[in-house]
Amino acid sequence: MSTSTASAVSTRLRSLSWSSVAKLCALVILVLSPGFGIPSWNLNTAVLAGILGLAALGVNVLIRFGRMVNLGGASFLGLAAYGAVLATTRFGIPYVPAALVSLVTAAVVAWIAGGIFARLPNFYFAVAMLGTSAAIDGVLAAFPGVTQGDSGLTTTRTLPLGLFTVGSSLGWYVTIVVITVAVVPLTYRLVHGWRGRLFSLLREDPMAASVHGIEVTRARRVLFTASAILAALSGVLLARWQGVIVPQDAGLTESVQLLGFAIVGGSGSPIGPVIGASLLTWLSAAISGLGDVELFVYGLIFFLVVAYFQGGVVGAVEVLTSKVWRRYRSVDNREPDELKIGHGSDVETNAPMLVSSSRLREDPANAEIPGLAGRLEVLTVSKIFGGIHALDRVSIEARPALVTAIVGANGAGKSTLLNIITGVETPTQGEVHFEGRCLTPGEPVERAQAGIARTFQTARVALDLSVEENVRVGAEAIYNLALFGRRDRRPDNRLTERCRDALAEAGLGHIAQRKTSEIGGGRRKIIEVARAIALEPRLLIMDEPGAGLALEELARLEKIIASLRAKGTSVVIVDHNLDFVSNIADCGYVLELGRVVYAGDVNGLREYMEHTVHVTESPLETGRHLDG
Amino acid sequence: MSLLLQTLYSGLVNGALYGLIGLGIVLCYRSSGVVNLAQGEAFTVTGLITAEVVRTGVPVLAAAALGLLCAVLFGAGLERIILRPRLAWSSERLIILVVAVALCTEGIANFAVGPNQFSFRSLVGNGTVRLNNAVMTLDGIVLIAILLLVGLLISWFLHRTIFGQGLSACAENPTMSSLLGINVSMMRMIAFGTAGLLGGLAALLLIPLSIVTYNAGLSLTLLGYVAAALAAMKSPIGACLAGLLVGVAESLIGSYVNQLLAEPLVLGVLMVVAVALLGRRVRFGGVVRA
Repeated sequence: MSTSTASAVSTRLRSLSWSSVAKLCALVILVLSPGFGIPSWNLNTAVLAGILGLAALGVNVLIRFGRMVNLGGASFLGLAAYGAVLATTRFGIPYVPAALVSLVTAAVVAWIAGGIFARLPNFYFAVAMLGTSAAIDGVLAAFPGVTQGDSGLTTTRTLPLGLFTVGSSLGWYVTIVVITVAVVPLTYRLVHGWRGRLFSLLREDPMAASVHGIEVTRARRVLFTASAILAALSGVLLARWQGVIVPQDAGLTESVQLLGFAIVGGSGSPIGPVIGASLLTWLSAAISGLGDVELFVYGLIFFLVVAYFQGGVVGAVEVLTSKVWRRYRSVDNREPDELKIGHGSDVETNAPMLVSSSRLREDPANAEIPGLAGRLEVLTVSKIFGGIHALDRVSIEARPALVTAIVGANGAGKSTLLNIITGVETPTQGEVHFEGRCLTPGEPVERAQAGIARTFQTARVALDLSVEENVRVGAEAIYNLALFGRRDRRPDNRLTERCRDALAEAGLGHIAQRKTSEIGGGRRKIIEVARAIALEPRLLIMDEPGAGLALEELARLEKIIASLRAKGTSVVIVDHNLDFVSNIADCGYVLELGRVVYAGDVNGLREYMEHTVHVTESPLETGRHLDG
Repeated sequence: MSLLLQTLYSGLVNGALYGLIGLGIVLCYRSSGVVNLAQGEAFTVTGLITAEVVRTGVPVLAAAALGLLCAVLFGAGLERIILRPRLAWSSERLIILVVAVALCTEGIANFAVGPNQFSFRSLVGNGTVRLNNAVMTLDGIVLIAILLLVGLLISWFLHRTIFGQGLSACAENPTMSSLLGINVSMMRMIAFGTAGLLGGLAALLLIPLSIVTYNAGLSLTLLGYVAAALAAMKSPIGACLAGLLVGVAESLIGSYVNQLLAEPLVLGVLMVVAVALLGRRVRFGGVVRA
C-alpha cells in the first residue's frame, strides 16, 4: 500500500508542478505584457485594468462561493473612493490613514447592510444591489456642495505610501501588480481547506448546510463584506489613479461592467476576473476611437460568453490545454490510478469492523450517558397549512440506544414532522424537546449544535467536493467555525480521525478521494450518513434512508444503524418499507392523516400495518405536496 | 395648491410608467420565476424605433404600431430564443443572462442611434386639461387610465380564467403544469410578449411628453422592480398601485425637497422597504425546502 501511495503522490506532484509551472509562466507573460507593444495595451491601460480587476475579484467571490450576483459591485467602490478623497482634501488627513479608514468603514457598512441583503434570494439580492448602486450614484450627484456633483472630486494622481510616493505609470503598475498578487491568493484561500468545503456545501445546498450547523445568512454576510472590502480597495486606488472620482463610478454601468469582467474572464478561476478586466479594458481602449461601438461590443461579448461559454476566457484556455495535455500524457497516466483504487478497496474491507469495535469500547461518550442524553420528545405538535392539518397533536418519543421508526403513507405528515424536529419548519402548536430542553421555535443550526444530525430523502451533498470532503464538512461546520465567529475549536487531528472512522464505517474508504459527482445516487445517501456519523450526534434522524439503495448498500446501512444503537445514539427513521423497518427498528409510530394511530414495538407495528385498512388518500396529496 | 396638483399629476404619469414596467416584471416572474431585468428595454425599443421611423416621414400611428410590434417580439423572443433553452440554469446564471441581454440591447441601441435624445409627436393629440392652474396632458391621462385598465384586466385574467390560472401554475411547478396539459412554454412566451407590449405602450404614451435615450432601460427596470417588489412580485393590480406610489413619492420629493435627490431617495428607501418585505419569509437563501 505504501508504495502505491508514494507513487500516487509523486504522480500528483509531477502533474501539479507541471501545470503550475505553466500557469506561472502564463502569469509572468501577462504581467510583462504591457511592455510588448500591443496597440492600446500600455502601462496606463494595464493599471486601470488592475484596479478594476480588484473590484471584479470581489464581485466574483460572491458569485463563486455564495451564488450571489452582485449587480451593485461599484457601490462600495464609489463610497470608499469618495470617503478617502474627502478625508484627504477636506480634512487634510494623509492618504494612507484615510484609505484605511475608508476600507474599515466600507467593511462595517457592508456587514450591517449584509444583515438585510444577505438573506435575500438570488434575484432579489441582485436587483437590490443594482438599486443601491443607482441610489448611491444619485445621492453623490445630488449634493454638489460636498461632492462637486457630476464634475466629480479631484485629487492628485499620486499614491503617497508614507516612505515613498508612487507617481510614474511604471510605479503605479508595479504597485497594482503587487497588490493583486497579494490579494488573489487571499481569495484563493477561501476555496481551499475547510472554509472552501463549507462554502462548497453552502453553494450547492444551503438547506443541507444549515442542517449541518452552517449559518447560511452569516456565511453570505461574510462573503458580502469580503466583496465590499475588495471593491473599496479598488475605489481608493481608482480615485488617486484617475485624479478624479465621479458619481458614475458608483453607478449602474460601472457595476454591470464589474460583473462583466468577472464573467468574461471566467468566474471559476481565482485569476479570471483580473484577466477579464484586462481584456475588456484593453478592448474598450482599442475601440474607443470608433464612435458608439464600445457598449455594443462590450454588451455582445458579455452576452455571448454568458449564453454560450460559461467558463469565460480562463475556462476556454483550461479546456484547450487539458485536451492537449491529455492527448500528450494519455499513455502513462492511466495505470497507477487503477492500481491505487484496487489497493484502496483491499484496505477498506478489513478496516471498518476494527475501527468501529474499538470505538465502541473507548468512546467516552458511551461511558457517561446521562439519563437524558439523546432523548427526543415531540409534545402535541400540530402544523396547519392553509387550513389543512398536516399534523394534529402528534406526540412521539425517541430514546437513546433505540431505533424508532415513523411509518405512514405519503402525505401522512412524516416529512412535516421531520422538518419540525430539525427546525426546517416551525410548528403551529406544540413543542419539541431534546435532552430536556425545548428546541422550538428555532433554526436548524441550533439543532445541529445541540447534537442532532439528519439525512435527507434524496442525498444533499456537494457534488464538486470529494467524498471525504463531504464527510468532513459536517464536522467542521460544527467545531471549526472560527470564520463565523465561534470559538469552539477542536484539535484538527481529532476531526480527521473521526472522519476517517466515519468513512470506514460507511464502507467508503476506497472511494474517499473520488469526486461526489461521479458517485451514484444510492452511494450518495451513504455519504450523507457518513457525514452525519462524523458529527457524533446523540440523535440521528433519517428520512427514508433505505429508498433507492442497492441491496449491498442496504446491508451496510443496517450495520451502521446497529452500531449507532450499540453506541447509545437515538436513531429516528422515517420510511415506508416495512421489511426494512422491522429489520432494524425497536419501536415505532404509525402516522395517518397527521395523527398518531399506533405507538409501540416494531412487531406490533408490522401487524398493525398489515391487518388494518388505511386511509391513504390524504388531503395533502391533492393539495400542497410537502414530501419533496 | 396648483403646485401640489401639478406635482401629483406628474407623479402619477411617471408612476403609471413604473406601474406598467412593474406589471410586466410581475407577469414574467409569475410565469417563469425569472425577474426580467431586460423589461425596461422594451420601452427603449419601442421608443427608439418609433422615433426613428417617424423621422423618415411615416405617419406616427403606423410608426407606433411598428414600434409596439417590435416590443412584443422583443419580449417573446427573449423568452423563446434566450430563456427557454436555459431555464434549467441555476438562478445566478439566469440573472447574469438577463442582465447581459439588457446590456446588449443598450449596446445595440447606442450603436444604432448614438447617444442622442429622441422623441416623437403625441398619438392622442396635444390636448390638455386645466384644473386649478395645473396643466394635465391628454397623453398622461390616457397613460394612467391604460395602466389601471390593464392592471384590472390582467388581474381578472390571472385569477378568474383557467388560462390565467395555468399561467401562474407554470412558475410554481412547471413539470406538474405540463403534465396537467398546460402548454407551459407557450404560456411563458405569451407572458413575456405581453410584458413587452406593456413596456411599448408606456413608451408610446410617455415619450411624447419627455425623451428617450439608448440607456433608459436599466434604471426604468429598477423603478418598475420596486413597484413589483412592493406588490410582493405577485399582485398585478398591486404593482400598478405601487408604481403610482413610487411616481408620486418621487415627484413630491422632487418638488419639495431636492430635484436631484428624488430618484436616489425613492430607490434607496423603497428598495429597502421592498427588500425587507420580500426577505421576511425567506430562509436558506431562498432555496426551496426539503
